[in-house]
Amino acid sequence: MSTSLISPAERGYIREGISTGIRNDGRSRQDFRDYIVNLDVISHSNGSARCRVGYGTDVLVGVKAETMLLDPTQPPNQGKVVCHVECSPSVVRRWDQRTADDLNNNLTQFLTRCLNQYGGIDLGKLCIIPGKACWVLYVDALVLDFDGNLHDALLLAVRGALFNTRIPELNVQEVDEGEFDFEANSDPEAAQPVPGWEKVPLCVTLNRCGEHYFVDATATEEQCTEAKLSVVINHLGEICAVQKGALGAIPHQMYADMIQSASHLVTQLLSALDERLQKEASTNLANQNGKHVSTFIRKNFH
Amino acid sequence: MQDNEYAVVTDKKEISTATPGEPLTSSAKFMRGHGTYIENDKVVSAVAGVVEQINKLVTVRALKARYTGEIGDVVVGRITELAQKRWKVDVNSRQDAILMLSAIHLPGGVQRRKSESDELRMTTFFAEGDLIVAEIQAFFADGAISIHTRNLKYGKLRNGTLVKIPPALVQRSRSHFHTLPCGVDVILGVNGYIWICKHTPLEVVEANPENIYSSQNDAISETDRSNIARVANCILALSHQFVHIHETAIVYAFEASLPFAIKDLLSESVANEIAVETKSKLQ
Repeated sequence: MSTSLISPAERGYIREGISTGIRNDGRSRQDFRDYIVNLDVISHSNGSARCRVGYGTDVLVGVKAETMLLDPTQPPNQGKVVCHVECSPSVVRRWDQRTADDLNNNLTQFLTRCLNQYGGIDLGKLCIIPGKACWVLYVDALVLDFDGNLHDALLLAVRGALFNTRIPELNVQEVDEGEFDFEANSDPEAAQPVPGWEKVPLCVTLNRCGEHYFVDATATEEQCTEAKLSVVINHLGEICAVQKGALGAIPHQMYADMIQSASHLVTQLLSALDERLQKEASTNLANQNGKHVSTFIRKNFH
Repeated sequence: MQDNEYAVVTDKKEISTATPGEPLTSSAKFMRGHGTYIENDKVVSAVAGVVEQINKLVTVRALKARYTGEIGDVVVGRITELAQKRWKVDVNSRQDAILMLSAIHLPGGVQRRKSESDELRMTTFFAEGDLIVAEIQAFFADGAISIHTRNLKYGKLRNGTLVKIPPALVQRSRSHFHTLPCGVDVILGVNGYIWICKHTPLEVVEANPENIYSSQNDAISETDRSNIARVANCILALSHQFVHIHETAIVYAFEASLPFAIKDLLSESVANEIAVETKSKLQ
């Protein structure tokens, strides 16, 4: 627990830094830390990505596509997305077990809501045979390291992983009258991208500190804020979800202002991320000509 | 069995590194030291680090290890717990260091009267979460570090920011308190915790003895604040490039960093550039 302690002098220094616009690492209130996104880091998944923000927060996301027989309680012509977020034990070490469980649940629910209801993934196209079978996308995220701003990093990695995901093509045949059967095409060339991945939203978390708010808080900065507002926005600028964290309140006037600037920031973040993803995908393709090396290891020991 | 079958032939001229599980030599000829174990008659490395040999004893010094104290070391630590007549302090060591109530400097240098009320007032000196700078005084029987702050240079820290780096990068030197030309004080804790704060002349500290346990920051100008941020980022940049941290290195890195914006110093390319320039100036 020692890492979550902070002295009054440190807190005062950080808060004053935020109000003057010079934070402890020299950033202004609107500056993000540099981040890296690596694609295709887990070989046995349909798609994966790892996002590292600064030298701290590190999220690994894997997507696995599986076919599932629909039971009558489910909507007959939809697939579904199942999310799970877990913090690795090396991260949990700094909190007690209960805090860690709460955080896992919080993030899992946050991600489930983001992807199933407003996430842009075309669930209708994930249906294979109406009323019989559909695709399930298992989106599993593992938090490898923590230095604040987990929600934003999580959605960056999830968008990367869904961009990277390829779903195998299925050949559906009619066996009997009204009876269908399907078979997966093992050719990787024939695999399809996730329908609607480009509509997957990104998140910007704004932290309130006194009269001001700022983005991309480090773990210590998060300890000095009254309230957090995670705003999830898609490529069209539509707000998909808003979640308030921490114990404090947000003044009415500031709230409107925060939403405004969040939508502005997400637009920038989104176009920058997509550019990186395209670049990363093309370098991965070029590297594939060489012999296969585990990308997870290769990329992180540069 | 031939010794040169192993990755590490103990030739003293070369520095050899080992990874966990790497066989170092045969156990028949050598003794296993710290950071090694014996498996199938071989001495195997248990950590990633540098292989060292003294006569027949083979040890591996880990690259990233917790801090091991020595008497006289200046350390920066954080109070984690209050106990009977003592504070427990996190100093990045295997166990918390201990600061006895009798080992602190009371305001005005008065003698402590051992009384119960005195123990009840402990939080007015140091509370949980406070950062302090102290010196290692002794070790307890179980290996725990005992520290003291019985000097005006030691005590509670304020007006600045903490940076954590691997302890191996801070070398022991004559002084660990430095004032940089840019008007920033740096305290290089041997335990890898570095405190960077606004410069306060010693006369001012001596003139206001009641301030030594204050948790209130002084007014800090924007120039001071950006200089502190720049020094902090320079130290982090150097440590990411595995450069030893000492006063000269920080000054050179600070000069090399001036063309860049403070927030860009942590990007890998800029950090590398600064480290290269610092290293070339140091030679």
